[in-house]
Amino acid sequence: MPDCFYSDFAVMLRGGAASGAWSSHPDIAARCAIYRNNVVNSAIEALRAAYPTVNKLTGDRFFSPMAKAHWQNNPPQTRTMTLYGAGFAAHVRDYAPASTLPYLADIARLDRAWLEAMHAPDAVPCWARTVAAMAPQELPNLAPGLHPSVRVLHLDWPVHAVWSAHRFGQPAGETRLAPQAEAVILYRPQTDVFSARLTAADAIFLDRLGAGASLSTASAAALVEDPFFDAAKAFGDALTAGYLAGDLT
Amino acid sequence: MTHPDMSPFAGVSLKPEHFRSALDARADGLWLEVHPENYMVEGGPRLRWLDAIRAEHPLSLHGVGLSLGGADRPDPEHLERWVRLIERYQPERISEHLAWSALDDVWFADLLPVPMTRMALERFCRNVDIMQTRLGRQVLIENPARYLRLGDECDEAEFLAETVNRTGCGLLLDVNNLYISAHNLDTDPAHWLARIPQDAIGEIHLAGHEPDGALGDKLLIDTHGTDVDDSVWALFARVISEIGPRPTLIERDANLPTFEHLMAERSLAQRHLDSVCRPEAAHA
Repeated sequence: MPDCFYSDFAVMLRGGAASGAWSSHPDIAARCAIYRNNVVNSAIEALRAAYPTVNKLTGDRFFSPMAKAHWQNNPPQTRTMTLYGAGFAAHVRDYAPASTLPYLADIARLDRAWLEAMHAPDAVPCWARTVAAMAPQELPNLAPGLHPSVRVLHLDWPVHAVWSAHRFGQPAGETRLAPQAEAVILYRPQTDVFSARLTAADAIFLDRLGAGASLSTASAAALVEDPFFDAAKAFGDALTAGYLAGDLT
Repeated sequence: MTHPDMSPFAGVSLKPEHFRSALDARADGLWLEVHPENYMVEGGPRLRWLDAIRAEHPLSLHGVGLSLGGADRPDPEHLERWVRLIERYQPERISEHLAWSALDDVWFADLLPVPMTRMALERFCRNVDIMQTRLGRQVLIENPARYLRLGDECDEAEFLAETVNRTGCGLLLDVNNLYISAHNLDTDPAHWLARIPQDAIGEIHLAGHEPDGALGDKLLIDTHGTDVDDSVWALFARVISEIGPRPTLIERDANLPTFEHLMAERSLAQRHLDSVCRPEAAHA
């Protein structure tokens, strides 16, 4: 058997014609279909598991072809499906049949952030007691960074409540939304993933901390967004929730 | 009921939906098997659940991603993830497939067929050797569920026997795959069994199959989505009466039933194993 067997087979898996000596096998179409279906269904089911709220809002019959279209342009490149589909939100945004649900891409971004927070490295967050021992004058120069599970999203639609209701609670009928920026944080300080809306200034504050800025620099950036930004409260909230990295050395 | 001293135990494949039930299960000798690929994440509760379950039950790792039957060498990064999981979970056994799943950095997430050719054998033995060397462990290689003949130059049993001879690997006999392949390609399981190095078989898998949507019973598909079929139980009984009992897994990946349902199938497998070790046990 020549070396082109694998590439010939891969062409068939992607929907092309079977070629090579084996293609004259009786019932070749049905036999190839087993492999083709397994490959595409593995990708579709991995995306369905990773984006359960998108699936719930659109239904299985809409989701499956949308997922298949993503797989055709973005097949898995790692040997595990757990985190497959990093670019799915962009695909949803550009997927023409989904244009009647313009906020669906933001729902996908929330599902993705939840998945990434779930499987992020384990680490003890910076709790209030961690900084209690520090001298107050040290705090402005403290640059704690964010806990490795934290994902701060800047959404184009205010979909956090809709996402949360469909994913974890009882959806309250049809929701009419108008486009409006909304910031959301997803984080897993210990076992469970949590999410919360953020003010625009809080989101900037956390973004800057995540980029390595000190508390004073991050506060200054947040004050540009909101002159009434309360840095002490934002820092306290971050310590209470567990947004910050615990290793302060 | 005391367990026969020399009888190996039956296990079940473990899915996240069954973490709590598996942790609490106290069946004598219960062991569990997972796909390591599902635990190749940096942190989070999935790994911690497996830590807790491993503290209660023996574990085996059954890989689906190394593409040992492919044209390329095993992905070194994937092998390193294997190393970390072996260090963390200390599995009783590790296994992989006579299959390929990746080409040019694209992963197909399926167990694709390997042509039974001399060239494929050379590559497969090289890749099994790379895996065993890096992991420092013997690997059990599973026989495939086959739907196609691929211009084969030797038969599957010969291919596997040669791999055992050259690499020192063991075998994982999937009785459902043996049944399906024989059915689909019109071969004889007894002939396969007679030509395989039986002492190398270190584990047995049992799973469900379903008829093809287009061709019906003419083509059986390895779906892991139903209970183990009576035909496969019958072949399992023949196999263990000939080669002796081995640790045996009830494998289920789709249409997941309750954990208790899988444990009932496991009990049936255990009774088969016990009957081979102690023939009167089957009638007790």
